[in-house]
Amino acid sequence: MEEYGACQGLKSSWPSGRGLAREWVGPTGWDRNKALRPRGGRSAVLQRWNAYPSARAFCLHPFLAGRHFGCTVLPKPRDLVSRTNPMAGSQGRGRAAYTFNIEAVGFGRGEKLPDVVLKPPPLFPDTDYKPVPLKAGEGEDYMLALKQELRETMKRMPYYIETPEEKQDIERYSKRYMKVYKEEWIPDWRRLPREMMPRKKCKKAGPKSEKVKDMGKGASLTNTADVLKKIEELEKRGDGEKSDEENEEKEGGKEKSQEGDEEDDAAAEQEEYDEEEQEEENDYINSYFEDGDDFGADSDDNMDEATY
Amino acid sequence: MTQAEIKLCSLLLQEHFGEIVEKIGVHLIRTGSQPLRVIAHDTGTSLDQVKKALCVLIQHNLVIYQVHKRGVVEYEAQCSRVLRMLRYPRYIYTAKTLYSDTGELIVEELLLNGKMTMSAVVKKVADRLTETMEDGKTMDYAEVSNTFVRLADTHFVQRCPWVPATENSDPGPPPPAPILVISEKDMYLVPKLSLIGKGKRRRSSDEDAAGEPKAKRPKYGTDNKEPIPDDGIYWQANLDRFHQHFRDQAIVSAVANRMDQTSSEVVRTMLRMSEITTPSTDPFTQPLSSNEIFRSLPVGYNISKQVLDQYLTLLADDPLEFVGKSGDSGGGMYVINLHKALGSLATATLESVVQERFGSRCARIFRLVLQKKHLEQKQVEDFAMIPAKEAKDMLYKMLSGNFISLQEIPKTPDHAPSRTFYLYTVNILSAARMLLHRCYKSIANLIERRQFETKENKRLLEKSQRVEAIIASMQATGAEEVQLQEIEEMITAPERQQLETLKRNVNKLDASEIQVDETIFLLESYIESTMKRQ
Repeated sequence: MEEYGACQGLKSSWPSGRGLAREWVGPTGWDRNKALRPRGGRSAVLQRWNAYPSARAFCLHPFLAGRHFGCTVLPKPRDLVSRTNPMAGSQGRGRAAYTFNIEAVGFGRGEKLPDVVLKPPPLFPDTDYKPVPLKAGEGEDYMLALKQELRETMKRMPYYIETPEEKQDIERYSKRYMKVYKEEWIPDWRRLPREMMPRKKCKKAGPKSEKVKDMGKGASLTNTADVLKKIEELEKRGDGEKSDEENEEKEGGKEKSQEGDEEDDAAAEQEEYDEEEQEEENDYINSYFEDGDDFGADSDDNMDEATY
Repeated sequence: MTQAEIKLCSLLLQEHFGEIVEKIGVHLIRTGSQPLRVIAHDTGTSLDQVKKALCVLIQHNLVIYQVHKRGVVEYEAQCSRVLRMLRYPRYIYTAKTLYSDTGELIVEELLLNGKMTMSAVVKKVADRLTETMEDGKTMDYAEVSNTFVRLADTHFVQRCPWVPATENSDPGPPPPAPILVISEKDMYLVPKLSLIGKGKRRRSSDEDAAGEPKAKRPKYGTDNKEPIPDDGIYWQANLDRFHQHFRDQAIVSAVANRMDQTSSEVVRTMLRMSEITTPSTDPFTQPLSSNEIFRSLPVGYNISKQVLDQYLTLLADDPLEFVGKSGDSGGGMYVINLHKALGSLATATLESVVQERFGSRCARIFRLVLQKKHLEQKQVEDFAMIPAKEAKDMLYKMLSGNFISLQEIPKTPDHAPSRTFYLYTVNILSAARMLLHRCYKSIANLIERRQFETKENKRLLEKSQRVEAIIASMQATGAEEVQLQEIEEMITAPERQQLETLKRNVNKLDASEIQVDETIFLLESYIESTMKRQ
């Protein structure tokens, strides 16, 4: 214990071993309640003491007093206690033994201290003072109205993604007329990572579109040009080559971008969004044959098919 | 991110964007930067939905992406930006006070949509303004453009980082994600557009379009056949500039409360002069000479030079130290101590909280300890002139509330408690952080309570909405008074009472949220300013 230079002089007076602070040591090590009872009034120190249970275990040796973080008030060995507080030594277990000058924190000796609280604070504590009334004024009223209006507006924007509802047992008549029709929003694909675009490589189960596998046969898409475009684009997708810009008329307001891939995908994606909207009436699930990862996740939601 | 912040972010995202976006957003805030597949796997949502949610979040500047090695793109959420969503009404109201209705609508559109091109903003705002005007009048695009340019010049709106123009002959495969660049000088550069047109009033036949099947709904952007002239140049609201404005407002009103109106005008002039020259994170503004201030005073104030000098001296001598004197040239060089001002505001907030929570005697002790920095138990009783028992009780109440902390000064190296001084002190930074955390919790509680109240009375609310819709349609087709009365009586008197109570409660909760957000702003500014200086 060379590092604890200041205490070296005391070494001779300490017998070694664990039996030193006997009255605090129970059969399983530190007896928490006894060790803590003297410190009922000093909540900050108490908190720290509780926060480091390992430190308490470490406190066995008197040389380590104060040497590690947080633990400033330690149980002292018997000798010291009897020197400062003649009462505590003889009483032992029953009496609160203060190891420091209790006057320093403002409590008189022998005064009744409040009990240690051993549970979390109440969920709805009583307040002694009523809160100050809210600010009222033209600005505040306007901001309040704005806030409520914004809340409503946000729900109608295309950015608010509704959770797909469970299919109800009876289809309510009013539901059809209470739907909110939202504008579509298509992000600017040039600013987003390429993986963001939804890609439907696999076939769909709807009658309106037949993609990848059936591209050789007659397409049931309304626009055969689209099918040819799709074939080309799907062939090129693996190569990562740029394709020509073919979709000006489809895009409408969009300008050509240098990466033709995004254009095609945007067209595909726009069509896919349309088809998603159009196909909501029937029972087919669009994403039924998505990537292998999602197969398990999706099929649990819609139990239209019988499981064997 | 603390649990309270995450909870608040979750509530905000859910209210504004729905459950799916909320799930993805909260997951990203909790776990940090993650690639796409990991997000889909961890949250258990389909890849498609994750992509949609991420698109929405990126559009609103809540999530950014980064390309890592081997082409993996990782997405990171910005928790502090999500918390700004609470402040949207304040931003919009500020724009209204500075640039009237046009500015207000521009900022509102930009905040609601995240980023937009200038032409899209101008068109939408013109349409909205036209609807509110009287029949036959329309709003010209030019006027809206002018307001937009003014907003850009005063830095309230700024350009988003853009995709750099690469040459066409790029041999390699395109990168997995575009690297967006931004340059300081181009950030507020308005493109030269000649937007000619007028706002269109939405025809009443459009409202019947709601009954049409979805397939016939016009697609976004396909109405407009000509190419957009400023395609790719997106604008967003510059929240930092708004924060600077709020901070200036707070300082000016503090000076007005402490001294008088004229001194607050002087301080406002000084702040206005250093708006563009000083970055908002500096602890001091640039030194301004008294002559310059005199010249820049608003026209209505005709105080003489000597009076101005007297005011400046008074301000510089004030113990709050908002204004400091940094030299004597030019009639005296004065700076505004932004950091000290924020510190005083945060301290005032703390004092006010202690007073309202624990009483005025506790507040006296708190101010005493603030002033004297470190005090022993005995000294507190003496200086505050409060009996020992009560002083002790109050000190421990504040200690357990973490407003005051204990500093130990050992007399001996073995830290013996009987030979240690225990001093009470106030650590403003940690108390401010504690209070900020509490504010986040309060707002989360307020939002939850409001949602609960609304859910409880959902049936009643829907009924009242239906009745209103019926009345409106009947009034449009010209119905008699008696019929209207009948319809109104569909809602009984106790139900009306219930609706009134609900409305009052929801209003109170909403107003509380806005005002707690003001406290959050002050505390966050102070903490940020302190952290920058370290």
